[in-house]
Amino acid sequence: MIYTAQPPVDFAAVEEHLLDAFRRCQAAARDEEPIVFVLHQADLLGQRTVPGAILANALLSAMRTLAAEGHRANAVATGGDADPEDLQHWIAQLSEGRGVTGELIHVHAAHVGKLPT
Amino acid sequence: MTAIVTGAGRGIGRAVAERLRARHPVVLVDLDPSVQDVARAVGGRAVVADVTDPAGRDAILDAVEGEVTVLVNNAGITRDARLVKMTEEQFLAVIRVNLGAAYELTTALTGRYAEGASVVSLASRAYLGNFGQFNYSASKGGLVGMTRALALELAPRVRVNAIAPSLTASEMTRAMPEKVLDKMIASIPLGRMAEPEEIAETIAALASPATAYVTGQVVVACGGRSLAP
Repeated sequence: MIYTAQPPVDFAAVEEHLLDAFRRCQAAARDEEPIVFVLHQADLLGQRTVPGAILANALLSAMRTLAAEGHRANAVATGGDADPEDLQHWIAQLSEGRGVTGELIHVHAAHVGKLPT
Repeated sequence: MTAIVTGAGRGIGRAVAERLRARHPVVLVDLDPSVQDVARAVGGRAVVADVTDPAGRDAILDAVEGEVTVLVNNAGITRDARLVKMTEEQFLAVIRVNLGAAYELTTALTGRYAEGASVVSLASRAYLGNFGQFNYSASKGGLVGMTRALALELAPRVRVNAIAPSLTASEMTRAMPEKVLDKMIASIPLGRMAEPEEIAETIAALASPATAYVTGQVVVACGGRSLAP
């Protein structure tokens, strides 16, 4: 299951996206399907909107809890000068669910020199 | 010039209100009417309100005289279950109380913060991921995101930070089976739970001029648990 965070405009939209993610993650977890979240680095650092930062970081924490519960769950952070083909490569790698879980892959260098996410 | 503390009826919230009272008039907010007794003991003003309800948040805003110097988003609940067994009600209840109410109250106060004001939100070590807490972990991660974005948005006038405690002595932990609690404590390098007063001291520090150059940060106050095997 690949979940791409869409930019929310307010908290009602955050809640709507989180509930959608909850339902899709629950279904994927029950089917033992690997889960990948696609997040934006600028949202993880709070550089765009407050609702966007809330959603991205909530999903990142949720992903780590999925891993703690034994599911194959990972995330990729796009942004900066990320090449779309590179992004697809890493999504595909993580979708195979082999060996790696609870990990956030930054597909760019925009995270360097910033707070760890 | 007022400090607001949500979830101030007991535990960390009460301990924070007691510390902030030395420097600020304090508004203590809680759903439990016993917060009125606590406010009398602390020397603050009580607001009995549901922070998830717009009317409750309006009551908080009405109780504040002048500018807000400190906001502590402490109100929170747990509804633990593994994701595969968690209900939508459990998921949404935690998201709405822990995250939605904090966001709505913090942003509703945007025009009322004093120069140099400080917002501190109670995240949790669970934002790093924690078994059985998909809802709680997401809500606390969301608070971390809110902290970062608001730190940028409200700078330089207002500082915004968060604290991420681990196991803290409370009615909830006292109700846990002894074996479960002992196992959890064994995973903490400092060998014990935090006392609410210890977490409150860190929050009071984040709210004070002593940390005037700190914003957008999460202080993980977990006794070293986030490092332990």
